[in-house]
Amino acid sequence: MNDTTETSSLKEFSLQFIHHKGALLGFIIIAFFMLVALCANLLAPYASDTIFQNAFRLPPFSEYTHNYFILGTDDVGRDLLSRLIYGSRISLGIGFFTVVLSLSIGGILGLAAGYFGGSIDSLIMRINDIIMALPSVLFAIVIISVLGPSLANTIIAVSVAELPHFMRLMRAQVMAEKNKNYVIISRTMGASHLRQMFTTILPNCLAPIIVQSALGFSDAILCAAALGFLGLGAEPPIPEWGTMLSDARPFIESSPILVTLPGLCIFITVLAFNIFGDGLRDTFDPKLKR
Amino acid sequence: MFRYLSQRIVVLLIAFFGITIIAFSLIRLAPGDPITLLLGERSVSEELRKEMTANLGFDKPLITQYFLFIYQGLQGDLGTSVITKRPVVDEFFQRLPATLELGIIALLFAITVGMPFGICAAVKRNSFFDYFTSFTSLAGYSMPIFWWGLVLIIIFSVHIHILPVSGRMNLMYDIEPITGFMLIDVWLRGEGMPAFIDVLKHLILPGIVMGTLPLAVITRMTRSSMLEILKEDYIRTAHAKGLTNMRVIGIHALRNALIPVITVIGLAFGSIITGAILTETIFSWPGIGRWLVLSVTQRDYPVIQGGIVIIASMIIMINILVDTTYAIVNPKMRKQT
Amino acid sequence: MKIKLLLSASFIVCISSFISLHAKDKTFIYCSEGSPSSFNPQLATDGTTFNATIPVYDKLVDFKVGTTLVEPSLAKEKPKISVDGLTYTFYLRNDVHWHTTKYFKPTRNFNADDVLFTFDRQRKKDHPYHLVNGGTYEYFNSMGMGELIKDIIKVDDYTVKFILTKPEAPFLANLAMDFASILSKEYGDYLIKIGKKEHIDTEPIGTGPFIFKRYTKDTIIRYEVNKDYFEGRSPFDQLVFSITPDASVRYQKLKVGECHFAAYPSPTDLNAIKKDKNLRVMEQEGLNVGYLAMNVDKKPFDNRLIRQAINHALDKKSYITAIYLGNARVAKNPIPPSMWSYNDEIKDYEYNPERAKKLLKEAGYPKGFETKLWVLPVSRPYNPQGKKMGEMMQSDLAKIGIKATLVQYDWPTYLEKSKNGEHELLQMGWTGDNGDPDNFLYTNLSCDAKTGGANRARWCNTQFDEKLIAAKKTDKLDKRIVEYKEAQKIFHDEAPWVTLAHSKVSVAMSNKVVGYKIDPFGRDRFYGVDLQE
Repeated sequence: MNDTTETSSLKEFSLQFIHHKGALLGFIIIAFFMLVALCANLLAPYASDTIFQNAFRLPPFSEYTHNYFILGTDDVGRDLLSRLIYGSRISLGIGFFTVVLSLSIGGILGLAAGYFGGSIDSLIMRINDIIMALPSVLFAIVIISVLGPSLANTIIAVSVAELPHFMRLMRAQVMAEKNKNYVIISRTMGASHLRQMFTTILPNCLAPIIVQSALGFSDAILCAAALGFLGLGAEPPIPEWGTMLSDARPFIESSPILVTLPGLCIFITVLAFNIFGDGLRDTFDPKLKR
Repeated sequence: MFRYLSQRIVVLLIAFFGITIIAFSLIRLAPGDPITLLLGERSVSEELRKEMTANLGFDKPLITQYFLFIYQGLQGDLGTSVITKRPVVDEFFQRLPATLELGIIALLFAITVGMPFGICAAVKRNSFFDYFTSFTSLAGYSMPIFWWGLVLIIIFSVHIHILPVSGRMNLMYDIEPITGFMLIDVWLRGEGMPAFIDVLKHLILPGIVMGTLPLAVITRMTRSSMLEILKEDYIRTAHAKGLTNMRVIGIHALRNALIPVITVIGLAFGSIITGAILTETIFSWPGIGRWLVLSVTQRDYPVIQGGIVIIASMIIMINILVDTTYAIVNPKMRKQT
Repeated sequence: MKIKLLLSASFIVCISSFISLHAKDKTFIYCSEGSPSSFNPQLATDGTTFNATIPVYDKLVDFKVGTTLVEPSLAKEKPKISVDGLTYTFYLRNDVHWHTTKYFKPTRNFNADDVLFTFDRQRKKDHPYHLVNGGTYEYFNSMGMGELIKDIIKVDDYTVKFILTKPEAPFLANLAMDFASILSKEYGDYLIKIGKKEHIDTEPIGTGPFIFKRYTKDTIIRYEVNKDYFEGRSPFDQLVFSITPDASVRYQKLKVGECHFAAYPSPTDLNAIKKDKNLRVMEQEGLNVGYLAMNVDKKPFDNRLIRQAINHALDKKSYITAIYLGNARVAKNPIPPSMWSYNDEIKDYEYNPERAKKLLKEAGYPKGFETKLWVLPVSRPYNPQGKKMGEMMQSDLAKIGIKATLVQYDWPTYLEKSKNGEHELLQMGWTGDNGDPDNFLYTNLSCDAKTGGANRARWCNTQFDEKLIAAKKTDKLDKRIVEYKEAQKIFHDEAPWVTLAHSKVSVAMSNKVVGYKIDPFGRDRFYGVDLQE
């Protein structure tokens, strides 16, 4: 592959991508949330853990002791808007680290399984079978009770539950690629196993992996929020959306906004990643589209 | 065919033993034990605590406990709950009907809504309806169901109060379960229509919440498999023969499109358990999802290990079933594994 | 906002059909908050289970309804206590019938054998029932009854002697607790004969005012009246527990008349219930205390000045508003104000960040320090929202320069790790078992309790300990009061805890309910209650 074809394929890809309206929409929403997350300290009117004394559960657009709260305050007197803004950092962070973790571990395991086959393959696939046979949320709950609930452990638990997706996908890709001519040629030229796995085969398996990564983001955010909802999420006072929602449940009747908004944020972010992932898949795989 | 199946079964049995080890050991790694929980803020001397642990049989070496668990498990005895003092198997099957009833309603909802929408979307490709369906199903796929449940409660129970907030039925009916499926038991107990309607009302919101994810998956699956089929030669031939559009879709295409959809439904069991954990928590539904989560927070070892093993074996059994169907339907599959 | 949850036409229809069906029977319906774990209070530690067993069983002595005073029940009179305080002789009633049910027909009345059966099961390792259904007896063991009781002797059919290893003033109150409910030996023998020992804890036979009829898991418990009850028949024919975990649903059921009485109304609903003409709320200060324990084994909490500084730094009043929604009062002593020997002369540490900073400086930490604060992971009456309170405490501590990181674990982990003293600052609390100050002070603050793990501050003060032990050894109330008041003074000066709040216990009921007295231990007892049309 020389440079010109690479740039032109990239160009073609971007063009197709832009034409896919859904993907573009998803991308824009993600970009928006990322921007919010990055500039949280500029955008948020207050810090996420500043407690305004006695300003409990103020309705939106209220003023209290010369402080203005656009979305009101939560049940201990913190600005809801600021917490939501900082919350985007947490959720996107969870998504990012989970994908990185499960992609690297699952990807390598899948690569090894597909490349070597035989007993290595069956060993790795049995691990996969076991994780698949356990309901993912239950598995994550048990892991959390072993490790203790915290942000880092949420990421670990969700990553383990996400492993099979990457493992299976990578394995299937590698198995499809490894008997193609270019691989056989590089093998006869004496390339080492590592070189073959990572420089010859891997780049040609990337497209579906990228798609899966986008979808993995959404799964991770959703699963982490569910753990937060069950009271097993990030440690307080981290403004994780699922935890915020769960904490506000007793006030669902008197201050429904405390429940509604964090949930809406989760929903929109997850939806954006799914639209984006779908769009990517369509662009990468024109066969499916036509 | 037989060889393929026996291979699959051996492989799954290995996975099954892996699961028993994980179910047994993982929860024991967590700090605290059932006695700690029962004592709560109280305390006892170290000696007494040892004696109490011994009374529950948790003082034996872990290996012994594990083999005892397997040995008794093979005889259908998964131990006794530390908290409720009742056999785990009894407790499980007492709660299973509640989860199954909800799961069936959820799947019915998903199928009856999802399939027609999927088919129509495929037939009217790239129409507004198609885009609408695609977007909605994507939204359903992205829905945090714990939030979705709360939103539905706010709307239907709190604001226009036409549906109950939680529970399986109005407790004014004193119905002792026979099958455990309340929709059936109301008739067996001779309560009749009003009770049946009451039970149905209690099922609507949790059914929708739990059915949302399967609905999204089924809609998408139906649409894409329908699209593939519509391109096939025999459909074109059928069209060419002058059959009406309705007949082609209704008879030829639909039948073939069903196969992948059914496997998806089969595989949905695992995600139903996941959905059940959240849905049952929101609607205080007395099923196995809530029970399992509670047992983790209570360190009720026999319940956790027993519950996980039963669920995992169900999932594995369904996997074997799905594999078999695949193998029968599509001989090419047998060569892969 | 006023909200109606469950109302719909069909409900009204079924309520009326229900009432017409059982018009002859007088039924009392109690909306309870959860399922009992079993029907034997010896195996349980939770109020939910105790509420379900109270109608069925009696004890030798019992708390006078609505108070913490002990009065005779199955015993004819108060026991004779020997001068050395080691022997308690009980004279039993001879007119008490055991329940007759579908699953058991008794042939004899209650007698001394039943008393021995009850306590021997819990204390003797070789008792045929000791290991049945787990055999851990958390309450019996945590009250130290096994070590305390040297022997129980049957003098004759209606006389029983308890011999103790050491004088223990609160012993009698312990016997009024739920784990001391008397079970039938004849029933136990019968179950051994038919090989169904484990039924003893799920199909109860008692002597109480109501007979167990049926239990459907997570749904309903039904009791029938015991017509032969030795204190007289209850006016109800049926007692029904309708198990309703959701507090707002319980309120709705109360409102539409689906139940007469609701357990644990949600604090957010209380105002609406109070305004409703057909409903009534009863409130009482509960026998509880929520506190923040400072682990004196860890630096810098070994320093009294630091502990006092933290006492000054926390704005307890704001927690009462935000966490308890006003249904509590600020605590200044480790025992609640309704308890005898409460030392009202003690002046609480006032909220004063400046004073706190000064104390920090004096202790050598002018810039504060970093520490960890463990937040209570479960909702308890003494602290309904530990996490929220932790967030508020964190912000209060930050104001005097103490940077506290919040730590959360699930409940078993939290208990286990704090028992071992791994924490620095820890939210905890206590709910009284027998109304005796000993049960608060000795159980949670003595040197013994440090070894056992319940002393979460890990604070062992010999002077304080001596006072508590002296109070244990005498049964003269005025002497005990003096000792406890002095102990509270030491506690205040040493400040191993920040005492946070005593929460109120409230119940909601229909206006028709008469004769209900709220129980300081948080149990719901319906003997003596009636419905007035």
